[in-house]
Amino acid sequence: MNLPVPDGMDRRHFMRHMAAGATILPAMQFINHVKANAQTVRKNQKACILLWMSGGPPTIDIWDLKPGSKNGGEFQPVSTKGDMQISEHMSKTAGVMDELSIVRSMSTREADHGRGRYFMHTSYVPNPTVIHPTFGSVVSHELASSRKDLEIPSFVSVGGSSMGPGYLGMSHAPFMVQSNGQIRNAGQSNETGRLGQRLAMLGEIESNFINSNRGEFPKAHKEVYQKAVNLMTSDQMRAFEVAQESDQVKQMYGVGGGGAGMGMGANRFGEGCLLARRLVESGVPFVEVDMGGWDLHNDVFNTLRDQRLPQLDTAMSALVADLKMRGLLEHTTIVWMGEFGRTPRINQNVGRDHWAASWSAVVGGGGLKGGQAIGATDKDGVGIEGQSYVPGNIWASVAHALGIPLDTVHTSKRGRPMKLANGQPPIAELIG
Amino acid sequence: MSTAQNRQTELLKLLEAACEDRLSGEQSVRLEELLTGNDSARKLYREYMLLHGLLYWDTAVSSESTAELGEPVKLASSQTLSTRELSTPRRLKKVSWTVGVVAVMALIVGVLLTGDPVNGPQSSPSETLANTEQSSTDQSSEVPSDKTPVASNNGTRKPAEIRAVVGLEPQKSNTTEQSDNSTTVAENSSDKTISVGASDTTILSLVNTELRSSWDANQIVPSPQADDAEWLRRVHLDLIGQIPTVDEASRFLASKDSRKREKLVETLLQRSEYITNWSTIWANLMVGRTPDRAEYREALTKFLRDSFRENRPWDKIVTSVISAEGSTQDNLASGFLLAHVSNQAVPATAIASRLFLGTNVQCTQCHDHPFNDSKQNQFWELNSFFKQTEKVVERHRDPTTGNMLQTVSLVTKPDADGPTFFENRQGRVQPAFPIYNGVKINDDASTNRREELAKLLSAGEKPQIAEAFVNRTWKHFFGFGFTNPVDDMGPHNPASHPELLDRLAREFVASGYDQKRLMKWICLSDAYGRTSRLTDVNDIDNPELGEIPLFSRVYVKTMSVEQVYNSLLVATGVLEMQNGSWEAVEEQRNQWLQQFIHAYETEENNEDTHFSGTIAQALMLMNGDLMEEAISYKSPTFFGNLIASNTSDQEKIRQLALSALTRYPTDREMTMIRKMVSQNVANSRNGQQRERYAQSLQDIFWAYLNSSEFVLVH
Repeated sequence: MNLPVPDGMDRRHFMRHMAAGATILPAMQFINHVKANAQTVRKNQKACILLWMSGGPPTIDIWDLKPGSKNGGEFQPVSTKGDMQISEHMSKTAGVMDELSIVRSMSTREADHGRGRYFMHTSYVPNPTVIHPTFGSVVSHELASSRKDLEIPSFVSVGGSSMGPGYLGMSHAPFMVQSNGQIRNAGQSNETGRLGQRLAMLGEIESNFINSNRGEFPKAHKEVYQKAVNLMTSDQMRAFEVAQESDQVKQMYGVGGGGAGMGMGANRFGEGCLLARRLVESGVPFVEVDMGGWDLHNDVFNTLRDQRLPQLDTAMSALVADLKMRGLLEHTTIVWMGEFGRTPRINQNVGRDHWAASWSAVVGGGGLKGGQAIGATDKDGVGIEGQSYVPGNIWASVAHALGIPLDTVHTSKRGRPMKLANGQPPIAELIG
Repeated sequence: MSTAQNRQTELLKLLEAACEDRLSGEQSVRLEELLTGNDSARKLYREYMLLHGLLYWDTAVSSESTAELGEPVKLASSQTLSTRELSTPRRLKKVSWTVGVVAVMALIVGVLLTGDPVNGPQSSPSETLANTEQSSTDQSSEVPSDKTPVASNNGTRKPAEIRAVVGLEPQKSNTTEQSDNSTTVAENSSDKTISVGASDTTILSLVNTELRSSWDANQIVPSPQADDAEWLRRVHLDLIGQIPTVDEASRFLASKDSRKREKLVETLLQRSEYITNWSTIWANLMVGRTPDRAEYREALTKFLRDSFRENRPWDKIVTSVISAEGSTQDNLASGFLLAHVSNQAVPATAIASRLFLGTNVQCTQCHDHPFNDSKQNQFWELNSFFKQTEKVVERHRDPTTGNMLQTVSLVTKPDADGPTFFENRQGRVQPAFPIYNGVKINDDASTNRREELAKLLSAGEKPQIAEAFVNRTWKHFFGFGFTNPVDDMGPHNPASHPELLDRLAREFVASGYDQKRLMKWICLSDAYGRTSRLTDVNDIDNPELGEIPLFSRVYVKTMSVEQVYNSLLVATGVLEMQNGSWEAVEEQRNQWLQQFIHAYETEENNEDTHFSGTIAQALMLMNGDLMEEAISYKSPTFFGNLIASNTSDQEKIRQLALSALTRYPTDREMTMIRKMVSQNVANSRNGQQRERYAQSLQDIFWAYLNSSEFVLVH
């Protein structure tokens, strides 16, 4: 049926119809927020942006160079605005390093992609009896309840799928979008007024099934539908419209081609970072932006110089500068990391393989102390000198910055208490 | 201008006048004339009136309800509807309908309404086949449901064994013989020494006995038997990857045949959808869905289709993919290795090990583990079998078109010998020779290592490939395997029912790796026939919470993205009208699926399906094109046909529930739906009743298809 009725509908229309029909009560189960004027933006809302380097980046060529070592590779270090040197191919980022700190003594034992991804996102090693939440889900769980105005998902994963919400439940699962922010199927094809009736009926069927005692899935399903309906009817969806940004801003992030090593296409990671800024600005407490292509078993230096680093450098420096300019950086923590680092030794294919024993992550913003290199690797980059860190230390520092109490304990579905960030302490140098 | 166009223009003018309450008597007579003579005019009239009604209702309601709701949310920039409202204040005015229009509508109602949608709520008759309470009682009178520690009326007969007999021995299916027969089986099954290679009946009885003793040992009582509707839906989704059609469901539910479950399993195993389902499952596991490996996937899918069509023994399938040579044109089975031999065949080693051996050796390269040292070697020893394997790319010009073509082949290098080298965790380079399961093969260049590996994989009484396959298949049906995850078996992850797993693996080998028989043993087992509902006497059997699975019920699974897709097509009714080749169907489905697939761009070809339980899934089901099609009025969809049919309201509603959920509506649902429908129809303007009626049913179908009951396999 193709009626010439206007597409789309906002909350106001929706609520009107809800109020009109006899169906209001059951359908209301699917609407979380009836509050009006929901789009006030509060700039002091805390948030975290995780820049996820999928595949395991060679941090020895980016943040912790070893000039003079046999493992040193082809790149030279350059000075930065912070108290450390980084790769010459990260020159723009060098200019914002006073805001960021490098943790050079990450040391983990998971050098398989799947396990490393799990460990770095959750602070826990995989365990067959419990599925841990990714830290974005933890933040969503802790902060979303205090942001009743937020109608879009409280954990968004851009260009990648992050990890699951584990025992925190599907309503804290990442909402995955492409870097252009386009969301499929969010517009209704249907005439106004009928969604209420549909949801009323759905409410009846759902409660029938939930009461049939079939475990967690049916309850989770209902929560997810609530979120989806909120999303469909929210003005805040505009946060996803990254195309609305000015050309100047887009260019700064490397979006729209041009620039060294960008190739003809858009810099998707740059676009993702720009989207992350828009989402954080709208009150989304956790955004993860995925950048792939780091599994550099072959031809590591050419690939870094010509492709990965120019993209990373442009986008990451733009994000820090843009957040700073908008007064958002002091409330927004940035974490840069992958599932592990790469072998200091250069292999026969001029590549580097998986290496978890000694590598770097980068943290800054959100009131954490920038400009420092924390911890150190030895002269060939194969071992840690002094204190080493695991993901729990990073996430505890982020929790500190976000104001999430470090003694927060969640309960697994089986009733086991699970400590925030696996009970690790925050990194002292970061929290000052 | 044609007459038709003229007529339409005139009609529109008249309709506008009607809506604005300025229709003269003469005009209304003319309107009546126009409408009675012409179908499309009536359609236009309905649509126009519906639109008008909506706009009118919108505006009227908004002015009344704002106060209660507090301040309205600020409008988005693209509020076309509200803009129009503001610019057309005339529609705010209370519309009183002219006598003429009322007359026209009365006429239209007469012409259009063939059914009797305005029946008013009646309590539905008690044919609630799906009413779980009721039918579980029925079931338990047929089949003694729970063997409690206290002696039951049934004496020594174990219900599981009776089911087994009833299910699988046609010649003894009549009730008087059951008791004798089950005694025999009971004796058999208590004797664990019966030799491998037993009959289906005996194997089923073994499965049932093993599980029952684990329930007893854990002092739990299994969930009651599933009613026919629950079992029917589940077995369809598990075996052929889609829900049953309305016809299939009503036929099965109505059948009084005591062997109907067994017969259905046989039928499903012969369906073409069985081939599609299982070849898709294994193509997803073996190659994945990322577009850059599409060519390999397509070839392998063809190979798998042939394999599942002829029920090719599992060991033969493994042998074919492990030892494949040449391009995908030469050998379809080469698709698997072609997708994974990059990076010194590390991905091939890891994936083959996970899928065929059920062991995750890859992570042992680094992670600490009591068995770590040997396992690190094992990984590279297995890898060493791929040392001779090379992916060769040849470019050549197509003689007719002149285009450059590319052929990628698996080639065994003639001169590769000796060990593979790897760096251990201390940073020392170590050799790894081709050794599998303690057997070292000749490492000179003349030995084809992959051929040797293929032989070793299926050697012995109970090769690991059998146990891994049984474990994974069991998980497919029950939602959890004997080990979880299924691809990390080993001493560090003991099986929940080691004896049962061992026995099933041996029987599977003895059957000649007969996948269909294995599936029969599972589908007809007592445990698989139970409901997925938890009861208060087996609530510890909850692996969802990390408990060890006891299989005293069937665990709820989320539908795969393919199952949702196929099931929506079943509900739409298009599967029956599709005549295209499987390639075309597959191509369409793959394209649609891509929106939910995320590839990690790693050398190891990791990918994720971001679907089950996500907001993206909810949005797709609420608003996506597939849903739109499923609930479209357009004949020949199931829904369109149903709406156009002459069946009663009540029957239509029953069919909707049956189509989406494989059950009839509950009494509550029926009452609510009928109330809703009749209210909608009563509240709609004359002439719009039929439309509203159809829309109401559409909304109900939408709700059924959006329920968790639809997207879960339960």
